[in-house]
Amino acid sequence: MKISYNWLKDYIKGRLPKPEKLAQGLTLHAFEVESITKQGGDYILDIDVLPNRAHDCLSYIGVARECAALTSSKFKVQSLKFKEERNLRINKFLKVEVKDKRLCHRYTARVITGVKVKDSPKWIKRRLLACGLKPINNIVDATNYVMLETGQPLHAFDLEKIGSGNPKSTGIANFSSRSNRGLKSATPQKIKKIIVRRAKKNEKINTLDGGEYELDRDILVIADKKEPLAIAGIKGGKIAKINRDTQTIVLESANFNPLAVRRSSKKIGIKSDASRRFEAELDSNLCEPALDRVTGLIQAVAHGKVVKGLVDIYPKKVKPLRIKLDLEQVKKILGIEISRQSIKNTFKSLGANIKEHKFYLEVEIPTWRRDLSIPEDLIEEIARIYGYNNIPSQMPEVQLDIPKVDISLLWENKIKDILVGAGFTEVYNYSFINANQTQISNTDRAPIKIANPMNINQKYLRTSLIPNLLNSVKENLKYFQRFKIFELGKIYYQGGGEIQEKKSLTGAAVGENSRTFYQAKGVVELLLSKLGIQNFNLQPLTSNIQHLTSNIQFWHPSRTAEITIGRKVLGTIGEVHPEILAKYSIDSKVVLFDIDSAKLIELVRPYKIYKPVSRYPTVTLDLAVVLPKNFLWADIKNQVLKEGGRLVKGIKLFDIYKGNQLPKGKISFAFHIIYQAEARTLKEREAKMVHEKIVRALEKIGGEVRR
Amino acid sequence: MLIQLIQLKKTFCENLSQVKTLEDLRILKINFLGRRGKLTLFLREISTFPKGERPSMGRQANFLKQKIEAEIKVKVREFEKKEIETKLKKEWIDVTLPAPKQSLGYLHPITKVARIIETIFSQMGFEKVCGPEIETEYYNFDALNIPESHPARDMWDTFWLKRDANIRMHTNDTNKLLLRTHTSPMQIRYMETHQPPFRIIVPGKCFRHEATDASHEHTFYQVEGLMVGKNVTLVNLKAVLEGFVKSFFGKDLKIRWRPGYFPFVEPGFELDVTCQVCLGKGCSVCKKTGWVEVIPCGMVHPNVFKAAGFSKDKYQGFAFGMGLDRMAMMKYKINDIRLFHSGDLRFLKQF
Repeated sequence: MKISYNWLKDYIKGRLPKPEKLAQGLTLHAFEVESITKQGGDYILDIDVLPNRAHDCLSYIGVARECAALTSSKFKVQSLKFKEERNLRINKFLKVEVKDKRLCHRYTARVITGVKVKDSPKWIKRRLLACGLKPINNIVDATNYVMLETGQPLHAFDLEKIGSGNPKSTGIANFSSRSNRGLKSATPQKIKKIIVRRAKKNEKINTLDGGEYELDRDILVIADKKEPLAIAGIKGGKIAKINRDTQTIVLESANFNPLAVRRSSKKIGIKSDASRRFEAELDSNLCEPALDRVTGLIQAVAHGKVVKGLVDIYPKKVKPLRIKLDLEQVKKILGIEISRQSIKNTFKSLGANIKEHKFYLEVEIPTWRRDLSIPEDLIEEIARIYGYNNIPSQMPEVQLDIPKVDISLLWENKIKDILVGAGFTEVYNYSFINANQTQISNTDRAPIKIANPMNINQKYLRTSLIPNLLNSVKENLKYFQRFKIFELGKIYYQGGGEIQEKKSLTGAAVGENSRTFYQAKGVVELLLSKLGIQNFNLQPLTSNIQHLTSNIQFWHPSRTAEITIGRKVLGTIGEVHPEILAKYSIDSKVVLFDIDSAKLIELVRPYKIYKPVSRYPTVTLDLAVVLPKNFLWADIKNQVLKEGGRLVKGIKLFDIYKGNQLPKGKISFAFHIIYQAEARTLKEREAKMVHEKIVRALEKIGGEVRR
Repeated sequence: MLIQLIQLKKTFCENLSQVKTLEDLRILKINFLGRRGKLTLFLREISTFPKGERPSMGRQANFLKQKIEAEIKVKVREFEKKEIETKLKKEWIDVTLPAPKQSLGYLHPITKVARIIETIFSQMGFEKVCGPEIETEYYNFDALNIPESHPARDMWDTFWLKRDANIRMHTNDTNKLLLRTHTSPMQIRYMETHQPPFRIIVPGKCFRHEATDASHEHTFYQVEGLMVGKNVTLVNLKAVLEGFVKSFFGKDLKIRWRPGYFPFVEPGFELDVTCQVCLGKGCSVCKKTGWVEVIPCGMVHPNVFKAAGFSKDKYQGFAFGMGLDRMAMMKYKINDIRLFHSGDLRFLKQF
């Protein structure tokens, strides 16, 4: 809310601190002052009123009360006396019927006749402009002025344009009465009727700002017998608009249900100075003083005669709340003692009445402070007026205890550190993907849809980390040829009618090099072994998980492996299918690993056990075997381990050949086998015997062995 | 005889000074100490000397021998040293040439900042717990004293999940589903299963339905804090958070406390620090105020304890929350929040 420093002075007895000092005080004790702008001889303070104080502090009076409490000066009310015409009675002019009392808590109205509609005096115009409101005419300006002053939105209708109680005589009758000027018009032929009701379905209204809106049963309107004159608490309509010919006006000061105003305002898409205030739940008791204030102001600037009496429909009067404040509790929550006197002063300065008891204070909360309803609310008032900066700090005294540690979170850190050590950079991606991406993925998990997505590309929650990681790959390829990135984050899907939210670990290695797959495989093996996971396998992808229900092949069919432990599948590592890469316009090879991180963490072996280093010498023997091409290295390795038993300490592949020197369809593997006995020196003769056994086994499976 | 010895010594010294190579030195050594060397021959002749002169001559000759050996050793060392020096000189490289790139990766700046924050709080005995990113309306709002009718609900623009296929959080939970707008739901979840005293922090991903620009993101990270016991007070809250920010930003940091409003705390207030991007001069990050709000906080609202099932007035405590993105922006002087989710290695490789 924009507050003019000069205008604010009207409400303070004595001196107001300089603008800067005032702003600092407000920031530290009430609301942040976002800026101070010099404007002629005035200063405009832009105050960020907290949401729970919008009901009283979107007003000069509210802010002035805060200033008074902070500076221990006195707050002063501005009022203008007005004269009521004894011979004009309100019930001869206007009847009001409130049909929905739940949505309209109070409705007050006055009638003024014989007003002269013209421009407002300069000082009103200047003040409105300072607060960002456009001057219109002296009537409308007066209602806005009083709204800014008190926080109570007000509305003025042209009485003559309101249909009368008799539905047959609308329109024409009103126009005829317009020719009667001055006193004559003070005796209208018809009594006008205002009805506060829910709008009918498909009912329309043209508003003051030129819009046309369709209404429905949830929206409250101010209407005459025939049609809506205003959307209650939100915007006035064109029909009963005040213009230069207007002579008799109805001033409305009402209180509407905040939730209903909020919903209606959202529904029709209008936010106004009035709706913002009504949404905050205004004090119903504010209606009357605000109405009197605007009546006085209008009589001063537009003359006219104030009809005696007011309409006041107020079925459930709001009474002040009394809260018992236990002084021990104040001390217990704040941790320091604040004197009884100081507490009393705080509440007095905020306009509350206090009844003293021995151990507690009974605080009568003024009805304009709707935010104060429990003792804790009062403790907040004490603390903020005292100043949070002035309250000392003191570390808590607690029983010493070792904080519990969620081991899985520690392992997450470790996983990230290992990958970073292996050259992978961590990225954070959005949790959203688009419809295509739910298809172009490695899974057929049922995605979860966002009801109100930001845009079409973020309609679903990611069922895999892969789609967004591929986007990162694509973007980075603009600047880098070779790089490695990973993400450890959540994926979401539907499973068994319930929400599934799981952690996943996905990495991408990008580069021209044909060794990229093996580099990535090396990293996965490093990761697993660092986590103490030993007995894992990488097996060529079996065809049954190649085709998903979406029928889109994601992985390169002959360059992909499943990472398994026993029967559990931990994840997949492989090249991305070129057709998928084409969809992302990536023309570089991409190797991905996609690991179920929750499963991975379950398998972690945190404790390592020392195994003594063998003191006995090793015997290394070489061999090369030529086999048909469909044989896997893993098959050979398994044969060696099976035949060699515990004497085989290591197998090191050093050459693979499948060139011209070999018959077509054959491949040659050359490798060292390292033999060692556990507790004695292995004789070469013994090693050779085992070696020979291995050779025979390889020959048996069709190998041609060269020693 | 003595003259002969002195002459020998003189000749050696002269020869030694003329030695140019290791080879010269070897020949010199042979000339004096070899089988037919001058000194060797002299030593052999001693037995022919008059008996009375023999011991003294022997001593002096041996002394000379030792001296020659020592001098040669020194010279050898000199030559070796020179030889190494020449060799090393030839091995000269241009140390200013670019090094091959080492393939070490980088942690995301938010991960780094989160670890620092977690360490500081863990040193104060806070336990780290995590919660779900998909939440129910109950945990995200109602239980935190933000009922549907509360105007403050508009403070949190929310992503709602579509309810097709009738998906639920759990089979018997029909609550509306959303993406959590803050980490605060974990306050309730934790208190439902734990009895005070306790102190926890909850880091995690959060979502708000708002347009992105340099200072707004629909996806961001928070760390929630909660400490509850019988006598946990507002002065304690101040000390814990002051200790934290000074440890995180440095001791000279300027801070201020001012009122704030969050429905789940009462009293509610905020901790501001000098903007670390402009150091208080005023910039776009701090909206020209020189201050940045870093930690909203307050004393846990009685309605929150009630929702968690604690009996009235039995416990009290404080809660706070901070944006990790904001903390990282302050720490590394990052001026655009969108960079965190850009995946851009030109950005990520700076941390």
